[in-house]
Amino acid sequence: VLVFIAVPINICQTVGHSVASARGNPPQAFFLFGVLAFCLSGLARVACVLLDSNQSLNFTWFNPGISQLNFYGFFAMAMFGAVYIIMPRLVGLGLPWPGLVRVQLWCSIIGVLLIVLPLVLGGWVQQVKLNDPNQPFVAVMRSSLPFLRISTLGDLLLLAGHLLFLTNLVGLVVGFYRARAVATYDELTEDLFKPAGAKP
Amino acid sequence: MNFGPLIFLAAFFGLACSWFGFVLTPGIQVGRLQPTNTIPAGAVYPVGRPGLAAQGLAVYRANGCVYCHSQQVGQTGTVCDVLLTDTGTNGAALLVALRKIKPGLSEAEDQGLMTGLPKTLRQGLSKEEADPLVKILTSSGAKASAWIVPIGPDIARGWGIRRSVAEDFLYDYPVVPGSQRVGPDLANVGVRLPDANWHLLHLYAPRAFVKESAMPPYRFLFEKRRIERTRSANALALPPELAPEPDYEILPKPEAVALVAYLTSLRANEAIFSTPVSVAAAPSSSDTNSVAGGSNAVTNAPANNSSPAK
Repeated sequence: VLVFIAVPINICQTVGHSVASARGNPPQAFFLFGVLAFCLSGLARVACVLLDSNQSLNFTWFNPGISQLNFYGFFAMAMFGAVYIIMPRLVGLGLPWPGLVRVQLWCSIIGVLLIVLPLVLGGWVQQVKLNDPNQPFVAVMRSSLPFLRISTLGDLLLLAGHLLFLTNLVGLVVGFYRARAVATYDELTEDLFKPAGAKP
Repeated sequence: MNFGPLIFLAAFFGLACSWFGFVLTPGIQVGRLQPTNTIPAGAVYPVGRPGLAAQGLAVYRANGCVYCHSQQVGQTGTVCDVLLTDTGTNGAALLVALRKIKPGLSEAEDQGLMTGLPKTLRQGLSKEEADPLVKILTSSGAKASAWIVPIGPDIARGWGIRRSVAEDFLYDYPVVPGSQRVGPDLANVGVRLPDANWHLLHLYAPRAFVKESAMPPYRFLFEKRRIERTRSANALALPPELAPEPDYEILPKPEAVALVAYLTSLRANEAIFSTPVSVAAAPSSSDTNSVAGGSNAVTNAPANNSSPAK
């Protein structure tokens, strides 16, 4: 438990991240969300172990939901933030469409929430029904369907976000190689375009 | 400000702790698990699955059944039932004893309790409550026993008669206890649904047998063949709306047969030391039918007392 409290404090103090500074800076916001997701998923797991005396929650959609929060909410979001910060510096060019970063940020945040919240809620409902032997099993299964449908919407949003990410990245790489190609072309053809009289 | 060694030690300690918890401790607990005995019959448990069923485990894995089906029955606790097994010879003393155990009995109910033994007198007691009652009965010359009945939602659903334990998986490699219940638990499916033909049909068309089933049809485990001379003996007897064209028949591939052999071999319902549950003792004459009847009686018992147990 300490880890999940200590890590965000550490990170926030080291990097000086805060909600205010993240507002104008989407890559930072990716990090911030990642750190939040890391703590939340960790704390949820601990709470789940402590609360669930009956071990039924383990068999529901609760666990996949928390895993999504961990893998996508934390790891993927942190990676997106890192790529958005590192790639432009590596290439030495600005992102071709900086506005899309913000759009992807919101696609990802809403997408992750749309996946995680229904799965966690649905898992809880499923657990309550599983623990009630008077509920036929088919009814238990049916109760989880609406939640799964909503989380599919979240998947679609994530897909949209990924496409935006890809657009930006491909644009960046194309820009990089175009700049290099232009430079090389200029270098090679430098002599050709010199005025004829200048040649010795 | 060189914290390197300290950070290393802290990280090492953290990883060592989880290694102890996740690798070493389970290894000590179940790493050298040996077959055990059933109680009271004393038969060896578990026995290895037959070869076809062992192949079926591979099919079970290959088709990802484990993603939707768990094979672990949970148990929230154990209660004791007081069972009268023999009235003895002292009817008057037994009547007094019965009155003590069930106050407010009428004459007719007395007679009802003393015929058609064994009869369950009280349900859902703790061991401490049940033992004195048994003593009252036995001191009146009757035979009585405290029956151990595991309880829990899974057991009340009829998914098993006791919780799953490590011994149930002793000869399975790898074990497939599952982690999600999109479909019902399969720890005892061989007891619940022993009919191999039902399983084959259900694999071919789940919705035809369980309405609203979320299970996908596994039709690629079957092949459609033209009937050459006569119908094959093992062709599926499909209902008319699913049946193929008149000249064709649906045959299970070897994978389907192996999978069904595996499913029907899932019978984790023996009473063993690590999960006590009372089952009817085998009678002195080796009458297998009555043994089966006895264990059925036990299977039904938890369903009856699930509501007072809450």
